[in-house]
Amino acid sequence: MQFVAGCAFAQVLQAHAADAEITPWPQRLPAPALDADDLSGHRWQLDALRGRAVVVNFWASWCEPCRAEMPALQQAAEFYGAERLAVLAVNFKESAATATRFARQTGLALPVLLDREGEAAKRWGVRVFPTTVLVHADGKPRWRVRGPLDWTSLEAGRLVEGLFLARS
Amino acid sequence: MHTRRSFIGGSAAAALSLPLAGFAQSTARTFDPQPGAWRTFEVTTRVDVAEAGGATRVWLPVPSLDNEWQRSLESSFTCNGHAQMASDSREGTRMVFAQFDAGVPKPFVEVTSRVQTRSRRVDGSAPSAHEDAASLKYWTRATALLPTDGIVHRTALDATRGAQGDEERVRRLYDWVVANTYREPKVRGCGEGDIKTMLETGNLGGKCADLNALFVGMCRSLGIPARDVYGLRLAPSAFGYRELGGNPANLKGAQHCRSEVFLPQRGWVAMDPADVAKVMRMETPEWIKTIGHPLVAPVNRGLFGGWEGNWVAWNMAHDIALPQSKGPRLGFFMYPVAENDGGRFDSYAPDDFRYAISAREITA
Repeated sequence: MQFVAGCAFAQVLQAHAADAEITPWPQRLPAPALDADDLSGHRWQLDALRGRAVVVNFWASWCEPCRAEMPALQQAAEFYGAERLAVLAVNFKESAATATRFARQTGLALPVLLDREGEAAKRWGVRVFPTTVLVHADGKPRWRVRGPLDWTSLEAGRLVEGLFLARS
Repeated sequence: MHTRRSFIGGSAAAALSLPLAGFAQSTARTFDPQPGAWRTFEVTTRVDVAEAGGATRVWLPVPSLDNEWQRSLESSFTCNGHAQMASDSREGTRMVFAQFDAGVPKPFVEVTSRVQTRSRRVDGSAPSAHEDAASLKYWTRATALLPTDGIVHRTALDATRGAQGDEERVRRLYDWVVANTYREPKVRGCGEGDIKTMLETGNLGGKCADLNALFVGMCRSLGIPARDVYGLRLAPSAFGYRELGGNPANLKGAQHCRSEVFLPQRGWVAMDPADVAKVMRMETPEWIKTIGHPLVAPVNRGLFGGWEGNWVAWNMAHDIALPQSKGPRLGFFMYPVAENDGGRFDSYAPDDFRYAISAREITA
């Protein structure tokens, strides 16, 4: 499926996704640093994920729209497979215990990274939850999604598939 | 045990209309709280820490204000750790602070506070109230959750364009909060509670928005002294409005923040546009969208300059440093807070710790 970039497409997306605001990531702005452990102790560094599309989702357990979109995010991760897509759920300012309990109760299998002091959220310009940044496999962010999105929808599929490296 | 009979007996009957069977079905409502007799309540909060996970610290707010509508009396506590009265040094925000060593099985702390409250109503004949300039300036400051620049200031300016004098500006901001809440948000995401994010997302309803904080922030952005008053509903409304009262047997979710503004000719005046919006959205299955509706109009009038004494004020504090906490300052202190060395527990959805709050009215 062809990915149609540019402002016109962004406007179409904003018209469709009434719950979320989707804006292009400013081209001059490089990807902020992301380097954190997930709940199982595995370290995730954005730079090391070059070659894979990355979906960085900022959430908190007190945020109802965050909880609502989680299952679809997980479905997207499973559908595309870990070789092509990494979906990282960055928890905002909650304890490991809270995040672990949420993951256990909901069956969340995505990597959950802890942003204990909110520093990552600040670096990525996140104040609304959920916010999801879509990073191309070349390491450059392409889209910022503020608010919950149906990650199983056609619109979301277009966004995510546009992050993959072109097959030769 | 709170009973309907004791509730009625404790009220200034002349000032209050009494809910009758079938009253809720009537569209003729009144809402006219007036200062009357003092009511005495005992509020009990019990916190149980389910998974202590090491040394644990708990803080519980207690009534900290004394004025013409509240008298904060004594607080007592029991716990199986070490508890003491404490305060935030800046504003004298009082609290119970409890500490538990690692290994204490099933840590708990229970606090009982006595308080007297009464309804209030701005009295047009009141002489000019005096507050010193430094104090008034303090109540116009920005806080972590109440930025007063940018979109907050712009929104306040738009809402008050053409208004003459602080009272008219306050009226316009009150009307703006009532009119703009619970609308379809631009972005259905939630902020941390700061009013700037509320305005940017347009998400001004439910759990994502503290509407009275928005009202206070907008007042402050125009240089009008205003403050949030964080507290807890204690009893049903005497005027039959379900959404404006609490069930004394279970007040765990009854926290409510009211607000005040300072008007030069009147002093500190009660304001609660958030509760007007709440009545419109939630009092009936139908979402009422006009303030002229017979159910809404009395509340819209009555909560501009007044409120009922069925609520206790904990404090008016922002950016609170909890004593001996290793965590960040609190934007506000209205719920029990607990932490261990792994960090703060979640006050909004306590799986880590459970708490229960109840109240009883003491009648002579």
